[in-house]
Amino acid sequence: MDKGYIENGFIVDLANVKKTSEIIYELSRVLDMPESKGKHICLKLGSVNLSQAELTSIKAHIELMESQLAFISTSSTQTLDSAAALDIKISEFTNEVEAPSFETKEVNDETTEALDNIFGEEVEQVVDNKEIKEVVHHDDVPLEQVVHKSDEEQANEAESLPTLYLRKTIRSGQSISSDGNIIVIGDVNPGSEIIAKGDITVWGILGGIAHAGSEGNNFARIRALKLNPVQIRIGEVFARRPDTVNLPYIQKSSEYVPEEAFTYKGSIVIKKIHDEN
Amino acid sequence: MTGRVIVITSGKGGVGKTTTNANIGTALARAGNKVVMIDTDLGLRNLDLLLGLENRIVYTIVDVVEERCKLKQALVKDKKNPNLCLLAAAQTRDKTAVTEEQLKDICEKLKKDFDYILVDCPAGIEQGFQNAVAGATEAIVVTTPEMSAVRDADRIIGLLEAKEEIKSYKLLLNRVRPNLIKSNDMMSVEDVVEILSADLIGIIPEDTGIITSTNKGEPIVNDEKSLAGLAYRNVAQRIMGEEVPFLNLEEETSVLAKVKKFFSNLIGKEK
Repeated sequence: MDKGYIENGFIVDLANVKKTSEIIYELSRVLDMPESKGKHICLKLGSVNLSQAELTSIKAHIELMESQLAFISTSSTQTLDSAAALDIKISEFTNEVEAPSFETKEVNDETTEALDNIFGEEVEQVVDNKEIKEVVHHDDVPLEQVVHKSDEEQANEAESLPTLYLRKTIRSGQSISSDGNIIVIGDVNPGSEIIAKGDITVWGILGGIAHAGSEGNNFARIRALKLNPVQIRIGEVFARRPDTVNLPYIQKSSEYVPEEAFTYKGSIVIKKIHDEN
Repeated sequence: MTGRVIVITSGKGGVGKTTTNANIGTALARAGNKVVMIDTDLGLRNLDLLLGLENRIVYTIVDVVEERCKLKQALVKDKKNPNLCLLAAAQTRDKTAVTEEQLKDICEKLKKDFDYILVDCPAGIEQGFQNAVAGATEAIVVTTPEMSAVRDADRIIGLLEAKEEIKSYKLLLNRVRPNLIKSNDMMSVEDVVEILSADLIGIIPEDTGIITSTNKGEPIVNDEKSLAGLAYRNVAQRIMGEEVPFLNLEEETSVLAKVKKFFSNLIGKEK
């Protein structure tokens, strides 16, 4: 990737904007100023997902305002793909202004040790809040491709575990854990958590936190009529709800297709369970 | 006589617990029941203000448990309705001044003389909540169609389900704004009921009249013209076991809306 260097241009920072319409609006506002005519624009986008069509219209809009789109930067893979298809350059911005340097005194080992004693060593944490990946929705991948060799084994293992059967709504603040599988007939509402050594099956909407295979079994499965968990954890793999669909409560529908979550190459993948499978 | 002890709770603050308490209590008393309201929000009492009874309080619930007065002496009679009484909270103490056992005891004693004992619960899930719930056998969970209020109501329902003494709980949806629901800017009544999977006892529309009635110390149920007042009277009837259909809030009843509708029809016809 190129470093974001431009001549005769400026950066438009829209990293926090979530909607295409807002991007267009903000751009119109900036580009309407006479001093921005005929300049090169570096568009800094955040996690917003743009299709090719949306990106084309943004580019066209910039050109209409007598400017040019030089680079974009984004954290969304969809936008990256769209940009690549449209031949729009992608860049990573670097801060041109150097961060102010503070005078630092040498910290001796004794002080470090003392500080460690007070705050504890947090550096070696495996899961970092920022590093939790988003859940990947995979509807087009044929199931054969993602079936693991140990799938049969896993099914047998889950069957050998005891099962906790609950026929109620799991509400905010409630925590259910089990050394076996958990089956909930009802909704698992946001603010609650379910932790099972084996599989988790919810006959309703799963909106809280679900952790299957809590003792390190990465082959455990989580199923629900609708998966809308804040976080989903399978064995040692964590995933969070994508920011684009960050709605704690979703409408009930009779048209839900049951979904299943499992790990695939270190990510958590959600797949709809259709009849034909 | 054995009265029903109903706790009115919500988890979240500011959703209208106390307003609901004052209005349902007044409506039940208007229907001829003997009603007593207990304010358990020690240190942050409000129920007396809503009823306009602040100036009549001599003894509070803390005086009762600390045996400075008899229970009957501490009951403040309503200005209009002799069937309605208030057992006020102490403003100068905190939640630890009364225990769960003491509240249970007070409820048991009041059951003999009253049809309905409404317990006004403080916000939160700490000792204040535990105290308020201690003597009750029924609960009304007040919530508004907002994510945060619904989440807290969900938490409260979970706690109520865990209490053996609470035999039933009902949902009261407050501050509903039909035009916001119509434009999809507010969760609909159905959404909230489905999320919380609880039975509904009332839908109260947002009403600016509540503010003036609170300031005047005059519950809105006494205002025959108010839609919120009518909704509260319906809730009281449902508590008494009558079947009353829910208000259709979709229909706009304000004069302005009618005028708008008239003109839009007129323009529509001309085209």
